[in-house]
Amino acid sequence: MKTRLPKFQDIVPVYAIISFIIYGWTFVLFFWKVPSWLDFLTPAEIFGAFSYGVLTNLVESMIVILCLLVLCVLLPPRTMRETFAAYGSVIAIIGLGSVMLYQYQYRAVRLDFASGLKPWAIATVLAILLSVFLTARIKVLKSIILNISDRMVIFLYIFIPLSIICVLDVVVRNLG
Amino acid sequence: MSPSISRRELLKMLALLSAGAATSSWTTARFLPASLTDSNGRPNIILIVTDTTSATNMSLYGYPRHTTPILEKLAERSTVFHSHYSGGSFTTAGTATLLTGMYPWSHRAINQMGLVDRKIIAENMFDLIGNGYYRFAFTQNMAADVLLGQFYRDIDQHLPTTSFSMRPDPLMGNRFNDSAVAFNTYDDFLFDMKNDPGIPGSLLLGLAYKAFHLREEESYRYGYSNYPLGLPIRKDVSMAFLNETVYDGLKSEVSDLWKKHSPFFAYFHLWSPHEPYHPNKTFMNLFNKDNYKPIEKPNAPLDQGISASDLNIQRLYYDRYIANVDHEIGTLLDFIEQAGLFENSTIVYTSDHGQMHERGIFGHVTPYLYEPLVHIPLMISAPGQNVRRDIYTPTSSIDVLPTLVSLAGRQMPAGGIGKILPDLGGTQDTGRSIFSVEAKTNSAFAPLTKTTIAMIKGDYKLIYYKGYLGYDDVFELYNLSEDIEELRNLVSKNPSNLASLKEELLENLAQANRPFEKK
Repeated sequence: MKTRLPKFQDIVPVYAIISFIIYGWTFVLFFWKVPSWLDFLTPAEIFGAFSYGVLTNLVESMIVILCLLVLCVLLPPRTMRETFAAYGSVIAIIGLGSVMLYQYQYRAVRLDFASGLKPWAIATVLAILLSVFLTARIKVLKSIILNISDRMVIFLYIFIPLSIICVLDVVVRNLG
Repeated sequence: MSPSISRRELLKMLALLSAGAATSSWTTARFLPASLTDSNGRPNIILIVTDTTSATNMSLYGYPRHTTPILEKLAERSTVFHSHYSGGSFTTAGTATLLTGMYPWSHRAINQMGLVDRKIIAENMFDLIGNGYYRFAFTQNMAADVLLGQFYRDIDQHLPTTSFSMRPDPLMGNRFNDSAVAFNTYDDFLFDMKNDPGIPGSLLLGLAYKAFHLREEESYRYGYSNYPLGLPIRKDVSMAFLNETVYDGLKSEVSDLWKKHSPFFAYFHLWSPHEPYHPNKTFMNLFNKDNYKPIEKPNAPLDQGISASDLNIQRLYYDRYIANVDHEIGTLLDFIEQAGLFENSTIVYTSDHGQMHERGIFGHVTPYLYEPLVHIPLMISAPGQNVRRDIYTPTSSIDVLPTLVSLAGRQMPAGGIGKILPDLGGTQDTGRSIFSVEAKTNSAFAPLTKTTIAMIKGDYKLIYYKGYLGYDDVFELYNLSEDIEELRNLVSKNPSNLASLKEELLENLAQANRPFEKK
């Protein structure tokens, strides 16, 4: 099993990309809400809301990285394990980017939201396959992706301590 | 267990009694002492709010279709308020007005799913009725539940908004001990299911949650023989329910409250007859071919472009659904009757706002404040009351709070503008102005610049539209005693009272805006 998993230093930049997108999405919407909450909630309650958001982000980012690791374990080593940093990053960027677009596109039309899910999922899978194919063929693209994911690691120095603080806050809030 | 009355409370009651006797008719005074002496204590208070119920569609108030036979029976032992107005035209604004006794321009819950200004949270119905009462709250409407979340310190028992529904509670917030903050975070932010803006704060789990619930919503549409149009469903959380189950649940709660907690205050806020209109099949053929034709009205300038025939079909479904709800309220009232609770309880029936099926507009998400949207029912049955009283002077939902606080033997804080309702300790004030405020797209922290204000004074209703594209700074004036359908706008005739009414409305708006203007 261990031999089928990618190296730790390859997992970290992929996780960094995933975290940047997932945490970033929540942070943008959170700060969009804060001016309203300032008038209706106490600062402690607003921080509580932030903590729940970060806790959820932690769970989401773990789910995504675990899915990629499972995929890596299932596929032959040469297909993904050896290029996990590049392929994992591409899959994360295209997949999560597609979810962002879908969420934004269908923010107001609820029934269309449900009926559009299947074609959107198929289109996303096709886009991921195409992106992986192009990354494998175009060295410059692969290099850009690796550079980006490498630079994203810096954000983990913020996200991980923040997640620990927020998880503790949620635990304390729910004691008793 | 019946609580004893302290000397202080007795003195307060005597003071109330003498004030009532001095200011009210003999029948008025008859009810008030009865409520306080017959039960040897403060009365239980049961406040029943049915969402989206327009007085203009209730036979109780003269609607040609016989939609509310049960409520008409309740009226025989109640004080019926014929010109009662909600503070707003949708749940957040209307409910916040009811629960705080303030107009929307003061409590600031003016946006969809908005909250009241935290400076006034302490002045809510549960706090003011006081901890001498066991305070119970249940609403099916999430917009109202968000408000209850702000008042949680003053509520002794709160049922989740999805209680008595078809599926386990879909709300994430309720899964945490810290449910008030968790609810605000998950159900109003991370897993936001609202239409506008409707972007969940959680990228992945928000999407999964939304997809799962919308699939479930589809499954509720067909396959239930008692509900040919599909099960009653709450649009806010895609949660199906049966009205009969919900009302059975209320009976069970009333029974528990009655046995374990006295006196109690119960706030029940039910979703039906909110759209979508899905009545039980017993009511599906009601009013078929009854030849009732609503008065044709011209489309409003800011209409939704819906045809009159489509609106009439929706109106028919709405009327059937009101009849269905009326029937269910009847089962609850029967239970209350059998339990003997009418003798020592004040039963209040009202709504948070109305509903519109005319002028090219369906629903209540509209800038307008015509009668179907803001004219709501109010009936109060005092303990032991067995005669009907009718009040025709205009009253507002801001008056319900001071009335209930007074019935609970407590004092309102100084500065409140709501008045104790006539026949329940208050007097009829024909010269008073009543307001309804619509500003759902205006910032809650800024002066009202995109808003509609309706002011009812005596027979007249002045409506002011401000900030709408193509309909800015417009006044409409109607004489409701001659033109209840609001078809003849009197502004062009420039009646003698127009200038003073305009001045009063604008002065009130300016006063409400003053704290938000930049210095």
